[in-house]
Amino acid sequence: MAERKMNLTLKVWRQKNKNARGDFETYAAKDISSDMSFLEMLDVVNEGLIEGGKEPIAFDHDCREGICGMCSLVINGQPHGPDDGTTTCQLHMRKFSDGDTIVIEPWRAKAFPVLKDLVTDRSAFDRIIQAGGYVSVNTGGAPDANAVPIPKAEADLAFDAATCIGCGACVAACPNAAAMLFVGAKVSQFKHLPQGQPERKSRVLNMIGRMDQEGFGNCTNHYECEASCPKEIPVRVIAELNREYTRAALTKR
Amino acid sequence: MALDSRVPSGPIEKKWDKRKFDMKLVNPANKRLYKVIIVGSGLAGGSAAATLAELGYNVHCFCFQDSPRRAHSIAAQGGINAAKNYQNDGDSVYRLFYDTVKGGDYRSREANVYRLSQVSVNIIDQCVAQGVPFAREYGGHLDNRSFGGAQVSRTFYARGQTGQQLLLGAYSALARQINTGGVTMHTRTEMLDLVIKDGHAKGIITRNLVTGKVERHAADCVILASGGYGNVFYLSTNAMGSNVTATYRAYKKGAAFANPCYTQIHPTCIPVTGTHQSKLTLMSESLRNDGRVWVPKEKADAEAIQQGKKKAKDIPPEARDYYLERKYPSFGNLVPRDVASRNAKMMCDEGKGVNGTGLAVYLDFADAIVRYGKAEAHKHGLDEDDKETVQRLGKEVVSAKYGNLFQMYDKITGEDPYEVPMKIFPAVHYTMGGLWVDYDLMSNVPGLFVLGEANFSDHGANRLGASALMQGLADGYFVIPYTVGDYLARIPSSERYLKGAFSEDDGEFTAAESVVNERTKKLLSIKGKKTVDTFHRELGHIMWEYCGMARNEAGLQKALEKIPALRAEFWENVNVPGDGDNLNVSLEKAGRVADFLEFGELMCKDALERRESCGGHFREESQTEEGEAKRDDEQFSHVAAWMYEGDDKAPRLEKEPLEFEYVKLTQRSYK
Amino acid sequence: MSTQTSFNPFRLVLDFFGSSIGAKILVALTGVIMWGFVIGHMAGNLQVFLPAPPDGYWGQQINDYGHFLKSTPALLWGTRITLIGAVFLHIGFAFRLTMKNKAARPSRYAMKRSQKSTVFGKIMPVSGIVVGLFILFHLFHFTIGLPVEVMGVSNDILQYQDQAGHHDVYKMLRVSFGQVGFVALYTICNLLLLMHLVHGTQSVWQTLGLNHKSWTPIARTLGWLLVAAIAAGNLSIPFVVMSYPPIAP
Repeated sequence: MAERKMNLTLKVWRQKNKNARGDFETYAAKDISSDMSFLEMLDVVNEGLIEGGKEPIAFDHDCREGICGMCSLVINGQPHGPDDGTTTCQLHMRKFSDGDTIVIEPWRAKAFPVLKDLVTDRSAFDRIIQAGGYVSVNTGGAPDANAVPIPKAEADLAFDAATCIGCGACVAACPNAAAMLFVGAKVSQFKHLPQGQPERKSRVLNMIGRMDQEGFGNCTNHYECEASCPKEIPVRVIAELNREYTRAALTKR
Repeated sequence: MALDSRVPSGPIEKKWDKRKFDMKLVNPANKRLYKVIIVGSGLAGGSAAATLAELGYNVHCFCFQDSPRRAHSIAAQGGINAAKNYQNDGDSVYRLFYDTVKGGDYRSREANVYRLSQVSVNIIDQCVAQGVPFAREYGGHLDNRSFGGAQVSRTFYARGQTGQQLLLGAYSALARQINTGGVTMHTRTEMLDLVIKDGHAKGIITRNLVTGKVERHAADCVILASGGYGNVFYLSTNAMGSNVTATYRAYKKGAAFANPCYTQIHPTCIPVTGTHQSKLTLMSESLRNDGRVWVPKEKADAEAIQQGKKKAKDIPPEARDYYLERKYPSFGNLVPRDVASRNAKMMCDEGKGVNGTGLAVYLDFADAIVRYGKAEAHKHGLDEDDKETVQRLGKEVVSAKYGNLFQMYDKITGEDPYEVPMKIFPAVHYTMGGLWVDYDLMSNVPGLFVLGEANFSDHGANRLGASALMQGLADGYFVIPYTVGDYLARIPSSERYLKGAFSEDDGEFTAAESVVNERTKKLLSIKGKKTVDTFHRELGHIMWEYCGMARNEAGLQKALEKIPALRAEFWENVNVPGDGDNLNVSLEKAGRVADFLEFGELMCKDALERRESCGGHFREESQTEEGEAKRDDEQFSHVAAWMYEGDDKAPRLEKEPLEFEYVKLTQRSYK
Repeated sequence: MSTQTSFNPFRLVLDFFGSSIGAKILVALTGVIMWGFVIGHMAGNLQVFLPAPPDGYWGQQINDYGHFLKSTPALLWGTRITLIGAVFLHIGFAFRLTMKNKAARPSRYAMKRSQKSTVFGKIMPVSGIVVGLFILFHLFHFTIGLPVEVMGVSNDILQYQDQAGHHDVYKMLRVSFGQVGFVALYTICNLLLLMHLVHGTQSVWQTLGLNHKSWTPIARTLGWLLVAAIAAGNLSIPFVVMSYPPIAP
């Protein structure tokens, strides 16, 4: 595809720190190549800001190849922008046209407070995992890896859920800022594996307990999460989570 | 001071057992009385933090990302090697050891590599027990695939996301320990200096990247697992935040930096499209199984392509140069990474590059599509001469094998690789060099341990595919838990941190903190004209030009003039806006780039000093008549370990001789 | 981690419904109960179209059905109590969840583009409130008696008696739906009820944890058919009755 050049108008959320009031500021992004990634476009804008003696727009990013889950941004009302199955860092400017106005906001959720500009604190996700998103096995003494065969179909279901990158787009997209897709993905992964069975009940109880405590909403079946998930994790995992939780809650000892 | 590798005596297969038995142990009840600092939360750091906390140590783990799960280990695609021999194809610990030493072009320490091969089998067991969903066969057992540099199938994988799945396994083990209180996690916190007390590493100085607060952390030992330094080239497949600061600061505090010039350039990456480019994306090596690499035979054709006047399909087969197949008839497109990379560069240097910048070669799947399509048509009794059927079936096969990679390529370039050949170019991918460590993974500074890509230990001058994940986890799960214990057990009770023997208020800590604060203040006060990225980009150009895929004396000398000049300009003219007491992305970058500006010089010095070609280090002066890398075992069969002597003094070179008792040194040939 | 030693079913259930997922499941289950009622209610009302039995009169069948219900208090009150319970739990927990969900996003997006959510899902709270108010009105209208006259209809309609001395449900309907205003009101409220039910049928299996690659699409199609059937059944009553010749109160 041939390279195009375009001029854009950006409306970007700027917020000095966690406690400050934020607001939108408008910037012109000139001479943007269609070959740039979205974040490279922001890099260019930032270089201009710095040269003008202003502070650059702060945003989270790291691997820039769609796997670390650090990048975020709600772009024109869609987490990770308009492309399906894509993180912001993999979104390219050829998806936009000359003269476009692009609105860029942070993830908005009570559980993800804004730290600065477009940077949010997603440590609530870590705390949910800490509550039970693991198999309690110490290093050493594990049986041979082939000792327990796992049917390929089950292993594949576990893998589909395990591809979650923990970016939080599901929370950002959900009208209720719910973390059900994230929690469901982890619970589903272990549910489909024999290694996950011993802690199957305590895991889901503790993770949901923590999720509720962190101030996330809950699912009302809009499936916005599935549509925004850069790894296309299906809402099937939320149904599994509902079932696992019910089973565990009503049969716990 | 000579570097003592402290490799245990005895036959190679008994060394690790012997070392483990000789170690002093810490009483289980006393482990919580030792505090351990770990910098980095990737495969090496994360697994070490989890395992040490499981043992009972009081662990503090630091990462600059917002969560330990985001460390760049997560981006590894292909797989992890282990000598399980599940495929019954003749693999063994010894064979993995042999392949790794040979793949490293005989520049690694035999005893370390042997241990790596030994514990590789435990890694797979451990990861499966954690719930890592490795690929499986229909019978429910683990699947393997083969990878470059090996003739057996020993690579375990989880689709194209093996690194992600392994890291999430380590992260979950770490999360469990954070929950129990065994690990205190410090996210968005960057190590800015190492603190040495009485000759031992006893703490670090950090900056909280959100509040800007500079803090002192003391402990009984410090473990660095902060990854590689590929970003010295500005453009690499590393994450944007990957940096050399932790290891370089340790170097400046006395730790030896070994083989900094060893860099791995991966042949199949998506080419640079313009100056705006911030990072390079790797396409898995597996693509070379079916893709054919070519450039036009005639320079005129290449120029027409570069100017957009011709396309790949306009070049008839007889006008194409499948140069790898031509030059290496027996290995063809499957030559090792370093060879493939160098040849791509040679073609582009001859003016035969195939994109606007002239820095790309084709990786063409058209023939593979036809070949697979015909085979499928034959299998299903369809017409093998019907072009449409053959194309359709062939694309289905290729999609099943490489679908996710083709999709990724399409997303980034906007071109459909099923229809037009991919364009690829080599990119910096991994750094084999790192802080020097002994057999126990301890640097020459007592109490400073270095794991994973941050150390130099196992890959010699070239790393084989699927071995980085193996090394990170071997170091973290199965080596450091023993060796750290031995070091800690030797600390007298009265000298322990938690016994109050020393504290963050001691002079060494306050002095180190004030150096950090001075530097921050300086960076913020320059308010010059050029952005940090501009300097970083310029440094990257110098490094790539003179210390990249091919190096020569004149070029390296030139780089050694240019880098100090650039560094001087940086400290005069960099513009770091904002202040130090909140989240300031420019300030973070400035500190990292400042270290790269010093470190790049060290790399060039090492490259200059090593007047031989080996693995990823290609010195144009040292090549065979056919233009292949030529080692000089007489003079350079050693680890080059650089010691910091002061800012205005040249670093001192220490050599650790490498002895090969088990592996026979030969010249690699892929003809 | 639970440290409970003795099994306490009340505690378990309370804990469960205290969680966000438990609350959601309670809303779903009470929704299913009300679904059942909506179907039964419609089936009962459709008897308005049944022809007069031999030797009987037009409307007799629905009047007899009404009499049957009134003379079977166990059934009548059993149903009423279950329903009242379901309605209160449904509203109460839905309200609590909605408040929690709103609180989970204190600052709104300046721009939000939805990709999968439907209008049915988005208006759930609104349609729920309207349907709740409608049910209240409906109860006053046909069961308790309107406190004030509405569009010429008063609580007199509850006093109508047929030849057998039973309450004349048939006449009550004809008087009410002789008024275009009532037809319009019942139509609008029924449409909102149907929209509420659409999201309910499409969500219930997911919420109850039953999601299957092949069965879920079938269950969802059945859900649509059920809603369509209720639309046809419920809306036919006011419209058909309206088309009858006017009748004197």
